[in-house]
Amino acid sequence: MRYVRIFFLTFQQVFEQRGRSFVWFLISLWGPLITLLFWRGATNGGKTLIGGWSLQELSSYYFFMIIASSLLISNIEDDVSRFDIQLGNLTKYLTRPINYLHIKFIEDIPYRILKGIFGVIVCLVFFILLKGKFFIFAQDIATIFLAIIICVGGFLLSYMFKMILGVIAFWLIEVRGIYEAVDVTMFVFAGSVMPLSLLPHIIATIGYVLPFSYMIYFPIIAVEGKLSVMALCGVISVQAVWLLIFFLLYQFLWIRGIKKFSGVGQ
Amino acid sequence: MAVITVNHLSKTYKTYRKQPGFMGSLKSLVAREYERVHAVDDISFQVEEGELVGFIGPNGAGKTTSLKCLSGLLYPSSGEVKVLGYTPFDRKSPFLKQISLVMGQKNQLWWDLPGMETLLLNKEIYEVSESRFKEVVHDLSKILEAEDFLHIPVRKLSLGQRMKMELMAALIHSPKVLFLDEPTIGLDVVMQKNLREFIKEYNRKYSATILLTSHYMGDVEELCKRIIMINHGKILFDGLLSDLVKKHAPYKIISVVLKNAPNPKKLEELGEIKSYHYPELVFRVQAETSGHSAAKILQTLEVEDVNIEDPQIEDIIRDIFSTQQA
Repeated sequence: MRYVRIFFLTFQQVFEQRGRSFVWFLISLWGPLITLLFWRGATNGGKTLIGGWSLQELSSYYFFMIIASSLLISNIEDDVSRFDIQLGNLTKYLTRPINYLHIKFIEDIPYRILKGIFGVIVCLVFFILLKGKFFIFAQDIATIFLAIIICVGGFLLSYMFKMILGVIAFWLIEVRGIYEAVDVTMFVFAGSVMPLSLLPHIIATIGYVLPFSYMIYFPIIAVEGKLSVMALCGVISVQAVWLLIFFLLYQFLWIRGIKKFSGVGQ
Repeated sequence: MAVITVNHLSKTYKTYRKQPGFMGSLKSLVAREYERVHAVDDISFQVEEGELVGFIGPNGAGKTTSLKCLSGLLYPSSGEVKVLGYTPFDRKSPFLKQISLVMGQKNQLWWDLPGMETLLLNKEIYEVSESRFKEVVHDLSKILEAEDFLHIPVRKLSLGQRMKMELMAALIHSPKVLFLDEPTIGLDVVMQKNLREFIKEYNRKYSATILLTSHYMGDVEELCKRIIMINHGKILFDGLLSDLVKKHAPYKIISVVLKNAPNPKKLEELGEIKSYHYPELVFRVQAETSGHSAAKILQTLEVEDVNIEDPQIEDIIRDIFSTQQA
């Protein structure tokens, strides 16, 4: 019940800040849309296939990218590092009988939902304008069901990864440099630049091993129905392994980091 | 029965010094000079159930660090702390449900939402029953005169109103142990007085154990029988406020208003002159012989008015800290 109340309270807070959230969403919108224009030129207006991808498939990929990057990718690291650890807001979580990892998760969901709604609205506008011909969806129930699990897994992975980045602030004062380096790495290996299968073989292989592709790339191609049921199950298994690794790593860092917390600013 | 037991508690921070300017930055980059700061240095004390204890000391003395160790926020470098039989840093749920930490400079309220929303959230977090919640909100809002702004967004409230909401949020679960860090900071004198009354009332009504830090001696004088003085992380005095006066200020202050300017040589014979701005003259005399000293002053000088009083607590404490620093 307490988590339900926190969820709705955060939702109310998010609505108070809806203008700011929308501006951030607009900024994140430009990347996929500009890339889409680039691919339109590269495929000669859709006449040429690139690496087996048609303009229709690429367009669909980037439209779903708009939703995936706003709905599935958590931005909690800044909140954890700057406000909670460095400015001392962690105090209000530590002195109450609540689990920090759980409560931050609940607090993050409304932000993802609001941004996800922005993404869905933008895609709906394009869907109507383009009469749906640049959108590819999975067709059978089993694939759709597994794709939803992969999307949830993608969000959980991104949340745990960002929490790990956040708690690094227990040791480092300046974390922005690390976050920017991670953003660039994610940009390439999560499939934001282009689908991983279009990258050079060695880069793509690294991308399939690293966890980032399981946050964006695989959820998108799962929703598009580009994976067999076997492959979908494989993705879920890898997500589960990464999730376990992240959870253990987070616990390891949290138990040590919390002893270094000084509550400065409070 | 001791609710709080602290044995040889120490908290040390690692920090570094940097020389000013660009060269200082370069030097710090290559060979950074680290040092250890003893925020709390081997302190021990006990607090009994229902006691209201004042923790006083100058900035950086270690008051807030001590409170943070007691509430489970900080991990002690060494020593042992027990609050209600729990080790605070374990942050076990039954422990956290019985304590509350209020920090005057920061709050747990949701900035954009009415304070009532935070109260409802805390009701869920602390698993307070509906009837108990209504009763506590009714009681607290009445004592704090907060009924009118329970449903106004926090960002629209004045500092005093926010502090009242903050206290309500911290007390919704009726904690047995309350840590108050500078609860009256930034408040006007009327609000300070109201809050003191409230703290006193809460301590009386719930038999709550309260540890309070404050820069305002008014808070401590009005609320606490017992004080713990701390400086440079060490306890200088732990005992009754009245004992502090006896131990560190065995003197009285005699203030006189003179009719005529006296011979300065005569003045020196009458006692230690604390200040002299004609016609006001202030002596500091031994407490035991203060009656005799007063009589002598009245015989020797032409006096319009005379007043004998105990020294101000603030002065005594300032003297103790400055002696220690010297």
